Amino acid sequence: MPTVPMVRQDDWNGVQIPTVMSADSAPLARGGQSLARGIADMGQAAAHIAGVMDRVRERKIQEEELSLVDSWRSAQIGAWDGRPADAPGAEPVRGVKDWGEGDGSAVEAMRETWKAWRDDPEGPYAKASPEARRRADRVLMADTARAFSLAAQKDVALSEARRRTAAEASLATAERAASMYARDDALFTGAAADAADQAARLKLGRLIANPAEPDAEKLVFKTEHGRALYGALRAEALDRLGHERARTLVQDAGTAETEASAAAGIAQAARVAETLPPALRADALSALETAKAKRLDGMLGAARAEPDLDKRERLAAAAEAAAKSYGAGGKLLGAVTEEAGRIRAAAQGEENRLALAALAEGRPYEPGDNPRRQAALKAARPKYEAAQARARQRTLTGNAEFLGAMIGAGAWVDAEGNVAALDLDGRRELLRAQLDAGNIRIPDYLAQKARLDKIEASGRRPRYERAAADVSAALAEEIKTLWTDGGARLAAGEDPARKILDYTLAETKRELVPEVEEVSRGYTGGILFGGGPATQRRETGRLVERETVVKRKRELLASDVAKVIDLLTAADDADGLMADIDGNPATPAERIDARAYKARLIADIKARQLAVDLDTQAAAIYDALSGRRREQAVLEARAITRAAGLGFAAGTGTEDDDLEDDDAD
Amino acid sequence: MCDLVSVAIALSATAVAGTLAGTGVSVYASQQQGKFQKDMANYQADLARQRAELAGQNAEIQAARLAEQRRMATAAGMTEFAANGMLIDGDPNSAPNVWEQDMAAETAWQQEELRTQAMYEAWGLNANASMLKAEGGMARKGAILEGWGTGLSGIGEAAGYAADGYDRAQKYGSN
Repeated sequence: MPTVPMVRQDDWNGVQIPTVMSADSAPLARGGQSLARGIADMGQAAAHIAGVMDRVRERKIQEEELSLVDSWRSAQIGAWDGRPADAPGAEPVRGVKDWGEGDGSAVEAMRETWKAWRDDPEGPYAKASPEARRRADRVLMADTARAFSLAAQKDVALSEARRRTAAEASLATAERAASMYARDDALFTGAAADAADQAARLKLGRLIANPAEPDAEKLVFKTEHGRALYGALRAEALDRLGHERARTLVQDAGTAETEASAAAGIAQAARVAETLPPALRADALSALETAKAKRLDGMLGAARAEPDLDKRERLAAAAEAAAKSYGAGGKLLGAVTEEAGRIRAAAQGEENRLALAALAEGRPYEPGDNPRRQAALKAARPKYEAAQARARQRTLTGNAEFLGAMIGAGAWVDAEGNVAALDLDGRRELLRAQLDAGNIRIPDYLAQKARLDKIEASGRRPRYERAAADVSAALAEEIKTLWTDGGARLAAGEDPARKILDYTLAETKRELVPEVEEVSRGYTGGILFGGGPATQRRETGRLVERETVVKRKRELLASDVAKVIDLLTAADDADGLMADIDGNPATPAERIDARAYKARLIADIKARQLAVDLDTQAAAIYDALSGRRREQAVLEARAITRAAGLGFAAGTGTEDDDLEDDDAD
Repeated sequence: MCDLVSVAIALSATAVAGTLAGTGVSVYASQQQGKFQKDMANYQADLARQRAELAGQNAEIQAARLAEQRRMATAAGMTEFAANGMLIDGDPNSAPNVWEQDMAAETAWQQEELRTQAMYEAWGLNANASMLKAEGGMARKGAILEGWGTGLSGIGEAAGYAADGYDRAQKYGSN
């Protein structure tokens, strides 16, 4: 069986049948939605535009309303408070609120202003829209009501003020009349009655039915108590006027030209014051007392300020008399009397000083029959004598002090002004001559004589004289200037204890300080660029002694002269002793060479420069001398005990013990 | 004050101008988009129609190729029949002749099948072309509607801006 080839459908490479698609309507729907949204947006835009138009209209109405209200307020303020001139150069328009008498009714004026503004055909009210006008009316109603109310109040106040002004003018006239007639009782009574009537009318103005009635008796009152009230007010006004009258009288009396008119015014014021009720009376009397006191005080003040003493006493007496004529009593009279006494005492004290000055200056002082002058002379004479005695005493004391220094120095200035040294006898003569001349007193004489006697007895007279001569020669120039009349007394204006000269005290101070050396560091900046080698200061770590000379200013007093002379004399005694002359414990004591020491001290005084303070030198030398005396005393005591066979002294025990042992043996 | 008014007017004018310009651009863009979509759909429809034509032509080519293959296979079978001693004659009932007739009948049937398939494919492609054309038209109409909507919104918005500007200018001018 042959194979039969078969053709299958798969081998045809057959076509694929395409699926049939459906149309998409989405773009159309989207377009429709977009169109619907656009239409809706148009609707919203229309609504929005309508809202905007409504707002614009509302705003315009509000602006119109505000403009209306502002226009009226401007007109109202211009009318009420005034406004600048309408034309250049004209007077400003005065406001209704400042209107016064004769300017008319404020209410009418404001009403005219309102009508003129509202009915002006060219004005803003006529031109405004009905809606704006309706709204503005609500505000304008309140504004106009307030303006008319203010105007009405002003009208009422003006009419009231008019009535009061008239009444006050009447009252002022009546009161002025009462014040003018204060000195005359009859005239014052009539004027005061009128014034009191006017015052009562002024206060009761609204209660009187017929205020134009001139007769007070025919007045008709609106209430029952009106008449009683009128009487009370009238009485009160009368009292007040009486009080015013009393004060006027007091014031007049206080400034009266003459004492008689012052006394009369004071008496009348006191009489008027007595008629017043208690409170006013106390015030009037107090014012009266003040016026009296002020007047009297003025008189006493004039007396105090018066330079002529006789006139001053007369013025004080006049014040006393016036106080009595014013009827002043009690404290015021006592005070015036006391002050007059003080014035007289002050005049007496001044007179006493004048008398004392006249006596002191040797001028003639004639008291005559003036009791004040007589008393002054009597009081001044003992004072003058006591002052003279005191001056003499002072002179003598000064002389004694000064002569002491002078005699201590042994120097004298003769009548020609030459300086010479005195020996001891010369000094004795000088001392005696001063005593005889009354320049010094006996105690001073005795004290100085005792010093001379002591020098005489010490056996060192030549030494003292030599020292005195050296010192006086060294001080000659300064001593001369202090004495006068050949040394008889101290020159005027000189202090006996004053300095003779200024000198410089040059003290040498020694102290240990760190040593400093300067080291060269070579040419650190380079030798080509100029400049020297650089140096550096540094401490070496060692201590070196440094001497510093400290100079101080000192004064040599008159009393120091004798001290110098004693020091020179003592230096001879201390020759060869060890003494710490410079007073510095750090330096060792030196041996005193009397000749060299004295020469140096004299030279130092001549040069006005000391190396060591005088007191320090004296202390060192006297210390050395007393040390030697102490040693001598010990030696003497030891010698005495040894001679007497006693063994109390130290250092001799060995020999004594030996002797005792020998005796025992 | 005048400065504020000027600033308000200038800002509003800028906003209105900007909005109108934006709206115009949007409308133009919508139109262009719709046009493009319609053109694209027409182009797709033309392509589908061409493919339908091609399907018919392809079916004829396939049918010819099938007939040729069948003839070659029938000839080979007949040759095989002859090689095996079968007599090839005009007897319509002899086996080789019956087999040859069957083969010819099946070839004709399969050619018809191919043509039917091609017809169906062309129908589908033509239907798609119609759909694409209809869709292009709808896109174009939708774009036009969208352009109108955008234009209305833009005009409304611009009018709102203009009204606001007027309001502010009035307010600042009155103050």
